[in-house]
Amino acid sequence: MSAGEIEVHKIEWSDFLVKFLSILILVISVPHILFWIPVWLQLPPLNLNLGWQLNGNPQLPSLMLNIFYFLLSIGFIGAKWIQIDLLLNRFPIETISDQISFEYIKVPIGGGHFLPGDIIKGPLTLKENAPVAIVCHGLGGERTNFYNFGIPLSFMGFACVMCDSRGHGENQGVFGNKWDFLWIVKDFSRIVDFVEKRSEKVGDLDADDMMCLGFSMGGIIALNEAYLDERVKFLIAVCTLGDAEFQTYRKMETLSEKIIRAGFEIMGINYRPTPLQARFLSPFLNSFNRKKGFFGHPVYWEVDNDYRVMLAHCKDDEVLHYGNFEKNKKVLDMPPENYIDFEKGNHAFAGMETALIGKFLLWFWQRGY
Amino acid sequence: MIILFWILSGVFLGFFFYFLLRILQMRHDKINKRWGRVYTDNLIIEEKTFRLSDEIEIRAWSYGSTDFIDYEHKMPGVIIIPRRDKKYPYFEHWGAHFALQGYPTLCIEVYDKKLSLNKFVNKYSSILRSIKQEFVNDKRVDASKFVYFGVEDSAKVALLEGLKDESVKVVCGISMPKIHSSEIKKDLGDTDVYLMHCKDDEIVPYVDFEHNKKVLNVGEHDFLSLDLGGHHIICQEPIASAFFSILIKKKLQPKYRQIVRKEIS
Repeated sequence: MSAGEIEVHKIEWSDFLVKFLSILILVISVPHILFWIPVWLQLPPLNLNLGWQLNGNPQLPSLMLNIFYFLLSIGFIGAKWIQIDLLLNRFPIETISDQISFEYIKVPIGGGHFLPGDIIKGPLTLKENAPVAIVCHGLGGERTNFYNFGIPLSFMGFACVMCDSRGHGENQGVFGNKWDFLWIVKDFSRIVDFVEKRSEKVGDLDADDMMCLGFSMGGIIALNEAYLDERVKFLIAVCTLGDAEFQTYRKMETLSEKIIRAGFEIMGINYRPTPLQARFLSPFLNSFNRKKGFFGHPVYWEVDNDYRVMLAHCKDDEVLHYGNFEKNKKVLDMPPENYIDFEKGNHAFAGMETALIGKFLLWFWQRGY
Repeated sequence: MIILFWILSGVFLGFFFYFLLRILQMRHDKINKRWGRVYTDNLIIEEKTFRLSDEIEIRAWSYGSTDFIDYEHKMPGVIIIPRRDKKYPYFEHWGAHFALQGYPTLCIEVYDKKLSLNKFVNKYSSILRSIKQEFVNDKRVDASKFVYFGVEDSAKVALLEGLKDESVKVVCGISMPKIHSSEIKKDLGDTDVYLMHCKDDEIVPYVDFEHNKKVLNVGEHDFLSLDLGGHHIICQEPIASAFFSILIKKKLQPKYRQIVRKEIS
């Protein structure tokens, strides 16, 4: 199967998913059977007199318990669903303004395939040679999810390039799959190529002043492909992966973590990377203190990480564990001004967004913007 | 045995209604409780109480950043006058936003829903003046440069008080009520006014924002109007915060320690 071809969706039946769904089905269904035991005990041949009846009807209490337990199950699942949705979908209202322009683009990535996207420009974005911020979305998301972080950069004068990865957003069902992780990461270079070409042909973008801001899977792109690419001046990686093996094989602490992981595996995401796959996604093994060599492969290099990299994470992140942030911070030996971590906010920095943007701005102010 | 039925029924229905209430509460909170405490080690937060008279005691929160422990350069002070229908910590995110950029920031709690707009503006203008006098003494603050940041009715307090004070160089207003030309002096001096409004604001109509822009002579790039978000700029808060910060930085030019790329041989 060639890269980019849409595969038939298949669930990743890991031991975890099988166990999780088995327990879920048991918890939901077994009580329904148990509720009928008193009825059976009152029937021949046992004929026990348990007093299990309402209005002379021995089946009515069991039936009522079935209904009440069903309601309880629905209520619990609904509450959990909304809790997770609220956490990951904090900005349901669009940002539309006459002062912000959205130019629809198609970034060619070879084989006749494209990544659809936008170039967002604000009132202070330069008409020529505008610095470029490439904003990368997370797994299962799309570019529009991060307008709230991209648009502020356009106010600073950046032209903000945001694309849907293969299998995501407009590309969903059109080109690629959500689980084409390595391809998704590698596609970033094509976006940088696009900026370079556009800089030469149109002149509105400055290919010498590019930065990458990535969230979650976008952070994996930032810390791997963007990090290795010397054309990218700065990177900010938010709530992202540090060590793929730690992330996948650690003990999950909360029910929400288990639900989220089950959701990903049902989506078809492989949560059991091989050592080689883990190596390609873990920046400390793949990219840190390296750059792209002659053949595009990582070679060790002296990198000024203090100048170039910023990290942010919430300690209660239930999608990508805080340990990932600690790993990245430790390997990069980061000074405190290069990172921010919040006690709460989970994977979406819920309630911390304005504070996070304040820290981003300081980062830019200290780098001459 | 039937007692077991009643116990189980009570437990199941109890939990069902609990989850139902949680769902309703979460949907309500999505709009009405979007913001709360900002927990990060990068912030230095201090609660202050200003006793301005026997009757008036005002609570405020001062914010600083651990990235600016020594404050080698004094920084402009930011005073935030938040929505008057919300108590602490609803406005803490604004304080954190400015403090994390290095601005010593003070958020004043102005929870006062009953007063008419005029009475509210009069009362809190004098309070703001008194509190600012004390904030000037903060050793981190450059006493010649202040920013007043007001939200909704409080934006009017920030504006009217800010325009009287030469050290207030910037006034930021979100969803500001209508300002009559008679309420302000014609020459705004060195003070810049930055405004933000949503077109679907049903409390302060958009025409009032257009009117304010003219009356306050707001510059071409000194305002932000968005189509959606309503009076409380729901979902647009990060965008608004960045918009104001970028203009403030351009205007006040605070000095930041510059981090330059190390030459690697």
